[in-house]
Formats: sequence, C-alpha cells, structure tokens
Amino acid sequence: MATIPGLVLSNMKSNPNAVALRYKQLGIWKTYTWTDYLAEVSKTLEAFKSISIGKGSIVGVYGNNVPTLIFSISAIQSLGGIVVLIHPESTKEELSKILLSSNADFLIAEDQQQVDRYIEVASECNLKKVIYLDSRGLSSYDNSNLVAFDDITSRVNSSNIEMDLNTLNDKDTAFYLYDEYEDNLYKVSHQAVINNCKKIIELNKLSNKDSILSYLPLSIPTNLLFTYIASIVSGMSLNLPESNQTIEKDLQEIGPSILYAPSFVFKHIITSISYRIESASEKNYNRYMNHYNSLMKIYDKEIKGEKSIIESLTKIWLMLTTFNPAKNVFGLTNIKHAFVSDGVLSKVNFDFFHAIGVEIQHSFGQAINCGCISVQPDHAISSENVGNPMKGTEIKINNNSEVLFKTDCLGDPLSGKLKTEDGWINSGYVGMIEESGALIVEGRSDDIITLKSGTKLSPEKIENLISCSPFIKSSIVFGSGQDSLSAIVVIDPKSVNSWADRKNIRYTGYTELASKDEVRDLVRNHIKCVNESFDSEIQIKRFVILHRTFIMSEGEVTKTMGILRSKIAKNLKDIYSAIENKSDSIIVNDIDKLTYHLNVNKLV
Amino acid sequence: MTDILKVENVTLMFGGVQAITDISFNVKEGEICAVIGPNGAGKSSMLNVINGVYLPQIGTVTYNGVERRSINPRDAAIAGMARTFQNIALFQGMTVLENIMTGRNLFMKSTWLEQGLNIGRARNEEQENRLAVEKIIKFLQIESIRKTPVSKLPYGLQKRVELGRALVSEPKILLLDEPMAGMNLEEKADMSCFILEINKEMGITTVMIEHDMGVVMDISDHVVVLDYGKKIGDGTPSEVMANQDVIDAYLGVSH
Repeated sequence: MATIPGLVLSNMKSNPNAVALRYKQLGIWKTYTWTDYLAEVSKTLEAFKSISIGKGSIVGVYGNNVPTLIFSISAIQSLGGIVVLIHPESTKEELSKILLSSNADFLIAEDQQQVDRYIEVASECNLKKVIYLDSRGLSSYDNSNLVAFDDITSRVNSSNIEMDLNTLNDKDTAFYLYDEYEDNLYKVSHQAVINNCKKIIELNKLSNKDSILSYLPLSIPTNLLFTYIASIVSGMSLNLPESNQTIEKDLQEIGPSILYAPSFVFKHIITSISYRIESASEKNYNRYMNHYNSLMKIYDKEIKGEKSIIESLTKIWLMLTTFNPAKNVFGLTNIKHAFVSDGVLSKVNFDFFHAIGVEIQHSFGQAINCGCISVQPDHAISSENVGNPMKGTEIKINNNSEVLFKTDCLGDPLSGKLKTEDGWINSGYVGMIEESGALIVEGRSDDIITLKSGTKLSPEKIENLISCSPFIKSSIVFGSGQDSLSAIVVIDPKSVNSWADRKNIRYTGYTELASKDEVRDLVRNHIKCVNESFDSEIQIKRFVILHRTFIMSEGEVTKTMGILRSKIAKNLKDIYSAIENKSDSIIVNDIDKLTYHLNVNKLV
Repeated sequence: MTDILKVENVTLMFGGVQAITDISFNVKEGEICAVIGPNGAGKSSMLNVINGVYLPQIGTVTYNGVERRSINPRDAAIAGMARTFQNIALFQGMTVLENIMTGRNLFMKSTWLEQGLNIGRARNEEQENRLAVEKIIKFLQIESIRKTPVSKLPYGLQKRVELGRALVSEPKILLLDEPMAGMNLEEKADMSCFILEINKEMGITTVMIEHDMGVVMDISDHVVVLDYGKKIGDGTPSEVMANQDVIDAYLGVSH
C-alpha cells in the first residue's frame, strides 16, 4: 500500500543520499537529500500536530513552490489530512469558493500577499488557524487566527514519522484538486494519483537519475502530477526556481532532463528566441534564418526517412554552430522528455522543438482524471494529437463530438454529479480520434461557435494559429449567431516593442503601441495568412487589437493562460456588441473605469 | 522617542551665495522625515551637510548625541549614515551584485592582497558579505537582475539598486535624495512600499528629499519645508499642508 508520504519514506530508505529537492535560496542552490526531506517533513508534521491538524483535517496550501510548502503537503497527508492546493494568484472569489466548498479547517499561506487575500474573505470562511511562512510585512497584523510557521516549528522536535504513516491507507483522500473551467473540486486518493503517475513513468522510462524543474504552482493538477508526484514516485530530484522572474536563469543553471509545462510556456520560449534574433545584427539575423530554414528542411526529410548522409552531417554542423548554444541558453540541453499540457503547440513550433532534439510530448488531462489520460509517445511527429490513451484508460467520441473516457484513476467531484453517459465520463471537451487511436482535442464543448448559417466550429484551433505569431500573445475568436467570425487580438509586448524600436515607431506605452497603424498591418498580414488555411465561411472577417492584455486576476484567463470566454465577454461587452452591430469604431468602458477608443479592422 | 538627529542654526554659503540660512530641525528615532521645497531651496545641500560632504559656516549637527560641525563622509558612514543620490551614482559597468557589494566596504577588514588571492579571512568575509547582500537583493526583489550590468537597467531599477547599496551598510539613518524622481506610477508605488518597510520592519530612521507631494504626505511622519534656503514649515503632513507660507511657496502669491 503506497501513500505519498509513504513513498517519501521508502525513497529515504532505498536512496538516503540522493538529491530529492533543490531550491535556490539567497542566490545559492540548496540541496535536500531524501534523508533531509524526510527530516523536514517530520518536523513540519510535529508542528502541525501542535496546532491540532490531524486525521480528516482539510488544509489549504496557498502559495508558490517553496520547500516549506512542499514539505507541508507530505506532513499534512502523514497526519491523515487532506491537502487543497490553491494557486498563489487566485482571486478573492476563487479563494473563498475553494475554502468554502472544501470546508477547509486550516490554511498555510506563503506570504503577505496571500494573507491579505485571505483576510478579505476571512468572514465568509470558518478557518481554525492560518499559518504563514514569510512574516515580512505582517508584524503589525492583529488577527488571532494568524500564526507564524517559524513560531510553531521552534517549539517542537522531530518525531518518528513511521508511527503516523502506519495509520494511513492508500484509499484515503490525498488532495482536493481544483478545476478552473468546471469551477469544482475533485477528491483524489493516494492510490489514484500514484497509479496514474506510475503509468507515465513506465511509459517514458523515467528514473531516479532524472531531474525536473517545477515552474508553476502545484495547484495546477497536471503540474502536480508531472512534477511533484513524479519526483516522489520515481525518486528523481525536483528543482524549484528562486522566483517567478528568475525561471529562465534557473532553468539554464539546472539543465533538467524532464520538463513539464503548459503550452503557453513553450510558446514563450519560442517568442524569446525570436525576440533575441529580431534584436540581433543583420548579419547574425540572416545567418540564423538561413540555418533555421536548412534545419527545418532536413527535419522534413528526417521524418519521412529520406535524410541523406550529407544532410545528417549538415544537421550536426547546424546544431553545433547555432542550435546547441540556443538550447543551452534556455536550459534545454539535457531534455529527454518535454511534456506539454493545456493545449497543443502549433505545427511550426512543434516541429522546431523536435528538429533541435527537444522531444515535445503533448498530453491531456484534468483534475477529475488525476491530471492525465493520454500522452504522446517519445518521437511523436504529429503536432495535432495529444497521444493515445494510457494503460487502464479508454477514450471515445460521442455523436456530439464530445470526448468521453473511462479510467481506473478517477477523482470524485465534491459538489454536483459526474457527467456520465453509459458509464463513460464526459470530459467537457470536443475532439476526434485519429486512425492510430490518438486523441485530438479541439476545444471545450461550451465554447463551440454556431454561425448564423448553422456551421459549428471550435474557436481554439483558429486561436492557436493566430497566437503562433511571435508578435501575438493571445487571441479570442467569437461570432455565435453572426455571419462571420471576429477576433480580439492581444499583442506580445516584448516582441512588438523590440520590433517597433527597430522600425523607429514612437510610442509611450502598451496602449499606444497597440493602436499604431504599423502594428495593425503586422497583425492583419498574419491573420490573412491564417485565413488561407480555412474555408471562406470560417475565416476571420474582423479583428480588434486590444489595448491591454487579458488579466488573470480578473479571471479572464486560467492559470495556464487558457481563455475564460464568459468573463472576457462580460468585461469587454462593448467590443462584442460593437462588432455585432457592425460598427467601425468602439468606445470601451473598461474594468479600470477608463474609456478607450478602438478600431474594428476588416479583412476582405 | 529621542531625537537621533538635530540640525541647529545651520548656515551654508558658497562664496557669496547663501544656500542654507539658519536652519534648525530635529529628526526623531524611527520616523520618516521628508525635506521638501521648490528647486534650489537647499534640500540636497542640507543632506550634504548632514553626512559631512559640506562644512557649514555656522551651526552644528548632533547625530546620536554627538555634536559636531564637521565629519568626514567615511566617518559618517561608520557612524551608521547611508545615503542615495539625486543623480544615480552607481558603477555603470559593474553588475547589480557587485554594486551592492561595494556598500559592504566598511565591513571588509582583509587586505587587497588577501582579497586578490582569495585566502585567509578574505574568503570568509566574502561569504558573509555576499549573504548580507543577497538578503537585501531578496528584500528589494531584484533576484532576476543580480548579474546584469547596471548600465543595462531602466532608471527605476537603478534607483532600487542604489537603495540596496545604502541598505547593506546596515545604517541607523538613511538619507534618500529624491528616491522617486523620474519614476512611473508603478515604480513609485513599489519604492514607497520599500521605504515604509525599511522604516517599519528594519526600524531605520529615514530622511528623504522628495518632490512628489502625494508620496510625501502618504508615507512621512514629519515634513520640513525649505524655500530659498530658509525653513518655512515643520510639522506633521497635515500641519504643513495647512501652513500658509508653504501654500504660497508652492502655488505662488499674487502681487
């Protein structure tokens, strides 16, 4: 019977001096072996016991990936408690919803930002204690519910954790995982999450020699599975970045062998590469572009099995002179597997990563199925699918093109019932299955657009293609009940800034830059190219360049940059109604209480 | 609360120009004191008198109970005074880390030879000082630019680095010369938070010159107003705001 803290103990027994966790603190990488890891968990466990966290306690863990929070997860579970992971950027409403519906007793908050947000919703939730890790800025707070983590740990000694672990059962609930799209929590047991992770580990032959960097908060279910759980189940080392701003540097220093990230992170890497190339001298720019074109031609032949010896040698040369150094800058040199969730990479980006030897593997999963039901194999060549179902999982498509699945690692919704059809669970996504049996996910079933003519389509495919330009950060396509499709486009500040500087375009800030004619033409040309891949009926006929980016704290995008359409439609209703009324200019009364004038751009 | 700093009847002249005329004010331990006034009012000169760059012709400065007319700026630093400058005075070619490290100069006792060869006490000193610098880097949230040359940073961040260099010298009193000049709204908000935290959490007394009235009124405990080298107001922000002389100096008087 394996439980998550039980696996920590067995890692300590089998490999006491192997590196379990690395964390950069005050500029220096600190290492915890499995022995240190277990000692920290035991100490944290005693501290939690002293404030009456015990069997059945429901504890919110609210913050970024810092070692203390990582140790807290195992400590809470060792005591028989249930961990509710909460994203550090959760809005007030989301925090209150999660605390209330999980019926949480305790909250462990990282710092003042999280404590402040808790205080805003404190009256609605009935928490016994809130433990904070970083006391900076909190010295003047007068709230009897707040207690410093250092205070409670200073009073206790480490204990023998094995005693507590003996009372655990692998069928006990380990986590409540939050699904942002469904706005619901799912109960998952130790057994379900561990078994699901074992499937990924076996399929990809991950071992305790590997290392992985955890970019994002563990509240994202796929991230939890691929990084935290994978490290405990396989015994590999988990690396935590120093802060959100230092990720690029930390990735370069660690050079992990496994990478997991939602698709937007990989898009960001591509944007960063093209941003650097764009700002290079003309000679270097031309050299890079020549090498890039040659590499992609060779890759095309490679996947067809037509690569000649000369081309193989050329590729080695291209890698040595250009792409290995580029990989090194982004910390991708040692990558054996790069798992992508929450969307797929566009073909251009997918092929580029594969051509330089970064094995991108798309995956699909949600909170309800413990973060993964399908994953692409090594050396995948299709950028469209998200892989074949994993062992113990079956997937099929119903008449409405909805993706249904069965899995032996299933979560249980905390409120409401599972959407099922004849024993199959409805994932809430639409898609199709390729001949090879691989799943293609087209988008959320709620997002389907029905045009006036009755044509139905999922906007995500078009959005993906629009967003594959390095100049475009994100986009939203809409047009239900209308003759044609329209798009709201958000430009990427970093790459458009550098492009504008080179073109000698003067601007004072993001809003002005987004309104420039030159930027409009840049976007227009890209959308024209995108339109060429679709029939006339489902081409974008109008687009608006937004004066700001989508805001996560307003609930417009998910924590993995997925579009939350209903909230955007509410916040930007002026744009939607102007396009419906076929106006050429829009006055937007935005959520910052300011008024912006935007133009509707037409494409013939 | 005791007065950590007393400025008494200070007059400073450059040849025939009287920059400061008979100014007296006190700064209490643990407060944020803002010195404000129009351009040319003598504010920066006042800071230079306090940390010993200028020697006033008349008057005394009492710091930590010790009265003096002159002090060497290095001695002022040893006594726990740190400052930043109106025009950024960083080593542009050096990284953020190296620049902040220069603020630890007072704590380095090893010789240049030991440092050059990284032997003996130099090695331990380097580690201790680096730790102190890293704590300030974390405090000011500039981890991501630790190894970036200062010349590549935007103005707002350079100001933050300068504040970091002043902070690592573990001062008792911090003299800030226009910490928010040339910053946008967001940078000002960040800097205000840092100044408040330095004052409240680290307990460092702060004297700052600032032009942004919103910031001054929001974060300072005590405001001294200078105009043409003379003191025209002294009190809490609300007292100073109600002072007719101050209003006239800022808005002008009809003739």
